[in-house]
Amino acid sequence: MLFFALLAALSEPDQALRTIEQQFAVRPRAESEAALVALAGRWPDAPAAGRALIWLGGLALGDGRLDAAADRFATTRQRFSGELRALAERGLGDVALHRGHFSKAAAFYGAGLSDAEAPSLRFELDEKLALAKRLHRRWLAELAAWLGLVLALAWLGRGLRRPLRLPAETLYVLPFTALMAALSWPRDHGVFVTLAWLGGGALVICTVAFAGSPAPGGRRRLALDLTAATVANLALGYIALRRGGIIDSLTQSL
Amino acid sequence: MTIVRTGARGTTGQRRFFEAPRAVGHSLGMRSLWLALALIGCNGTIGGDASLLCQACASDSDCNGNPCSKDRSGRLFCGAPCDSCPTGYSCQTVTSSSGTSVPSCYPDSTLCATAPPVGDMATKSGGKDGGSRGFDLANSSVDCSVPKGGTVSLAGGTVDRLFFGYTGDTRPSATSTSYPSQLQSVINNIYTQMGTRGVEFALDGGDHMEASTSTEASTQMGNYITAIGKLGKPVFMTMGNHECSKSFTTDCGGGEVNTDTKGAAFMSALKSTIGATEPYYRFDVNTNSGKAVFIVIADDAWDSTQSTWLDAQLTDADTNAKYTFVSKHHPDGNTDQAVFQTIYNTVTSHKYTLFMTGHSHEYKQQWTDSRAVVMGLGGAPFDNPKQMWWGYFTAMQCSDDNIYVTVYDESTGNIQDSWSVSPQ
Repeated sequence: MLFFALLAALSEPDQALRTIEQQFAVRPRAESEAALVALAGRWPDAPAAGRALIWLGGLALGDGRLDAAADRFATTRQRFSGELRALAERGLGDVALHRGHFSKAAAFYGAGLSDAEAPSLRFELDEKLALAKRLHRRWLAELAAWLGLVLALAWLGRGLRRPLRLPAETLYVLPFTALMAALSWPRDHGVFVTLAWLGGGALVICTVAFAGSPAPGGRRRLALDLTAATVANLALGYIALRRGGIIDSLTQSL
Repeated sequence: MTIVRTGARGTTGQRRFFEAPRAVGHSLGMRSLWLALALIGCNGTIGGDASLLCQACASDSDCNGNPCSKDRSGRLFCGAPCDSCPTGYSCQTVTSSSGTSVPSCYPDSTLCATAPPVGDMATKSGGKDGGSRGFDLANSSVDCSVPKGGTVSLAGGTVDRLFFGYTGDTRPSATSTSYPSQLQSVINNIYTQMGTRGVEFALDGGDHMEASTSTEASTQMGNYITAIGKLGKPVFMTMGNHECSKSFTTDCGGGEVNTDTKGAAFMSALKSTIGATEPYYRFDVNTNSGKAVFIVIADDAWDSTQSTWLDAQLTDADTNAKYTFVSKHHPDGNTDQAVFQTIYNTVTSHKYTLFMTGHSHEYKQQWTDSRAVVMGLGGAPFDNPKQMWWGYFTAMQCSDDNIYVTVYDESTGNIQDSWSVSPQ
């Protein structure tokens, strides 16, 4: 009944949207979201309803509620045109990017570009489209890195003459790596993830290489071993950086 | 117990995924599955939920598996599974918010608002909002309306309540003679929106340029000054690492900022806009509840002079200020230079209200320090696929004297986040 009292009290959707915005900071999030839902349900065809849906989608996306965000954006896209539709496509692209669906994200950003009019939104969609394509390429590169890593490990571990156990050398490095990762944990999640991948992966490479290293051979085999070790470490480095999501920040800092 | 349909949407009589064992099967396995689901409460939440019938909705996700569709009034309401229609409702085909046609309980009066009460339905859960989807429009006990404001400058100022904006990292993605026009429009929008919201002044978190020559640096700072002109009120700039030509691991301390290619352009802009002659400075704003001290640190022009100055300002603020706001480019946790963490530790050894930074192209309230906020989404290239929007935040002193931080997305103008902190 409170809801219907609310609807009776509000004379027009823009005013309702302004009221929700003005009181957002001092009200529980759930109350504001409920009010946005009420607004969009009361005036479903008004532009303010589209803005409410976009807002609800953005809040859901920020909270990591991807299904709910996708539903809000998809509904807006279906019901509105022009700038609101472009904003909905922007949101759907963001959801796809969160899910790691880079091609899908690029498609939504591309669609948004054709609907957007505001220069700032077009710029944002341009940047996002470029990023989605870049992330797609990196995903493909990571697949190649995994392939290289597996092949290199297969070469290094051929024979497996000894039981799988950590070589003594790693016991000196392990505490240092663990300390670095632990220090980064509260500060930078991306760095922590990267260090964790590097540390864990290096242990695997060392263990396999140590267990599988054959008796001394000729120069050719030594060169192949060195090549495999280099490939394994480079591949691991790339995988760790991508998993940590710090490639862009690293290149920008440098 | 009323058993509600919990499978996928469909016409009455369709096979259902989860029903009472009597209807679906008699095997021990099915009984066990049903029992387990009932125990963990899945039976009322998977798929359609009849308890939301005629509750207001905005899209299908509000209806827990049922369609969100219009009634005759044109308003949107949740439907319910056809096998659970109460008196006054019947099964009809409706168009959901996703555009698909599905069968659903629909009021015979065609109006949800005047439909018979659904008293014989399963117990109302109220959905995820925990009850009526209403919104109490009565005024909150806390007054967060836009203050009357007042004039603020480097020399100080007086306002009734504080209300300022903050953004950071407005630089282009690549070296260029000037800001690309589209980037300019983003920064223009940010400051226009701050102005529309009624802020009294603004601060930024640094990184205004991506330049390699003094001409490029000066032109880009000129572009930035054009953008902040949209606010029409003072913008207190913070020096970023892009305002120093050196590597990110070394800085422009010891007065080098004045001779450095990019540092000189920044200092010239700082002087022409607010009259500051050093990259670090302080200004005080008197409010109805006491003094607010704003301390702007130049961590890329760090030297012993600034270090001594900072400690003196913070010590003075400890005694004389109700609020202490600190702006600095690098956030807590950045170790590009060891001194960055030392500066943060110095600040946190004193009282402070907010520690505002940029550098990382993201927004976050640091989980290690709820008073530390990163806002580096002023237009610089995206580097976090999970934070892909540009924007700013406003900080308002409300009637309870707490500071309310509200974060905005520039493209939509919508609030992305909101939280508050006590004065110190």
